[in-house]
Amino acid sequence: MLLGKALPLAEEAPPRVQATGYRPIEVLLVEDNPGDVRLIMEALRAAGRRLHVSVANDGDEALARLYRYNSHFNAPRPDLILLDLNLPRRDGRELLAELKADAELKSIPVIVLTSSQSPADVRRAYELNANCYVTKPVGLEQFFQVMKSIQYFWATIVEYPGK
Amino acid sequence: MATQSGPSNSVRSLRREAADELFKRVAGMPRSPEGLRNQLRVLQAIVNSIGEGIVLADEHGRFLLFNPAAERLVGLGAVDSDPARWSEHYGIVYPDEKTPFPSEQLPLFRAIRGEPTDEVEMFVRNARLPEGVHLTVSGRPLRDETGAVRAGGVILREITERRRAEQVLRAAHDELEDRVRERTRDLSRTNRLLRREVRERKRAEAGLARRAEDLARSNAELEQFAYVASHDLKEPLRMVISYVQLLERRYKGRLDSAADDFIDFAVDGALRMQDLVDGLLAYSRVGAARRAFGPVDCERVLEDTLSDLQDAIKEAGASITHDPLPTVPGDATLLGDLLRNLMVNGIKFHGSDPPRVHIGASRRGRDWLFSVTDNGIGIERAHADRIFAIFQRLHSRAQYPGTGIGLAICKKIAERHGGRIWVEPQREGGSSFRFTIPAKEVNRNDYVGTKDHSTDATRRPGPTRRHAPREGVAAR
Repeated sequence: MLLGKALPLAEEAPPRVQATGYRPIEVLLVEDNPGDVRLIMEALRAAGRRLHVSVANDGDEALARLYRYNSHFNAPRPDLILLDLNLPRRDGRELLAELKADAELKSIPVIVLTSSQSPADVRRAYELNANCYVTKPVGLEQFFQVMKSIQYFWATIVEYPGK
Repeated sequence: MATQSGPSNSVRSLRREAADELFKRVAGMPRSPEGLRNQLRVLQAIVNSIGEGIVLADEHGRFLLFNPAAERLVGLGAVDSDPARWSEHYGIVYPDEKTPFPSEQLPLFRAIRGEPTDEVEMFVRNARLPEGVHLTVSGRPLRDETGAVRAGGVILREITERRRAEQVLRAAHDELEDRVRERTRDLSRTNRLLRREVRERKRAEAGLARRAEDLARSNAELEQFAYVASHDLKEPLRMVISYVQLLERRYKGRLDSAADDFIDFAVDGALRMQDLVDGLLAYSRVGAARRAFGPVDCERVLEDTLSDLQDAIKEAGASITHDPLPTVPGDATLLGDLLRNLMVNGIKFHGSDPPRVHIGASRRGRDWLFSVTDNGIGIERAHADRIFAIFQRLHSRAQYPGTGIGLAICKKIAERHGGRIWVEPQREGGSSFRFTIPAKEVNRNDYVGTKDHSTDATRRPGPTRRHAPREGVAAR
């Protein structure tokens, strides 16, 4: 990580809570905007990568991957889903509803990560059993901070089922 | 012709008795010639001196008696003439003063035919009486022992005065009626005109209301557009800002100094654009806010605003004073934004002295007049109107940062409450922003009225504030 050294955030990597049994957390990022995908990756890298991220560009692709896992193909089952709400075709809300209605998939925590600040969107997401709702902040500093917090919390504090 | 309006019945019957008595006396002749002569002399004297006219005629219509009063009343004395021509001869007509009175209907004519009459009214005008007189005449037949009619007699009384009075009265009455009719006609004409005017005004009002509706709709659409546009602008803007900042973070100092400048400009422009979009969103939200008005305690709103601004106040070393503030009908969040924007201005645009800001309030007729007065750099009178237009700035951002939306938002909030806003430059420097808020809620069709006023009023300015411009967006 040649570039990483120049990043101040990388130096503040969170402490390991447990030194034993480390394996990266599998994350499925559902995001259509390549700019956002790259930005999220950069932010996670700056925070010291603890998450292994694969990307689905829309709801259909996300479902295809998840069901493929269901059918025991070799795609890894994600431990965590990062979900944008505004997606082409099947949008984030529909995908969320479908996930939470699936017996096998509903135990995967879903973090809604969106630019919408609309109270209606927030309420709807929680009604559909989203596990948390995070607004993408404007400004690099703030965005990196948020991603760092997400990474810290979900990679070092949270316990996952069947792990 | 029947009497129209004569003496009362009792008086009339007394009179009739007197007449009967007179004729009885005259008819009942005493037996001795001496007595007869005496009696005749007495009667002659009475007949000649009384004021009422007495006329007697035999059954052929030859006059037996025509006393002086009668001669005076009818203007002519006894003239032998055909009874059928009496009316023509004496000039007798009906009381209307023109319709000929048929001779055979005259009381004397009827008396010698054996018919009594009472108080028949007539009008007499002839060469001797060019003015004419109104008379009332009663007649009685005179009979002999066998009951045969031998003569007839009448008593005449003048009632000209009474008739004239009646005529005057009637004329006055008629004139009054004419005038009432005329006035009624005028009134109904005026009424018609008024009704037409009312109809036209109603039409005009309906047109106005329609135009106002159209205007409100297009305003709402414009606000909706501004909201959507600024909302959708945020997404790509976030990308621009993030990546320019990423560029800055990763490559600042690694390229040449020109590259660093370019990156600085790009970052600065992107952040400014973010301020503008946020300001535009805040501005369109003033129009989008459809909360019902309730009583707003401005003291409390000011308290909240002061605690919001406490860092900025401390940093600038500003002193803030205020009058007791009233409770007005309105939207607490919007009024808080209004006060905050004006106070931020007062603090921001200070000169060499530490800023002093005073918030005043006084009643002006139906409105409350608020003022936010500072000792700052002031505003030239020429710019006093411009500053309330959106994106208008009087200073470079290097001197005073800001987007030029703050005062536009203030104006919109004041107008939303049915008030207005203006600025008065102070002679001793500084400026005084004034705005009015109606003390009683004005009728606004564009608001959703709810019965939930009280709860709305007690709601503190809530999380919606986070979208409102905090500072640096007010401009002069």
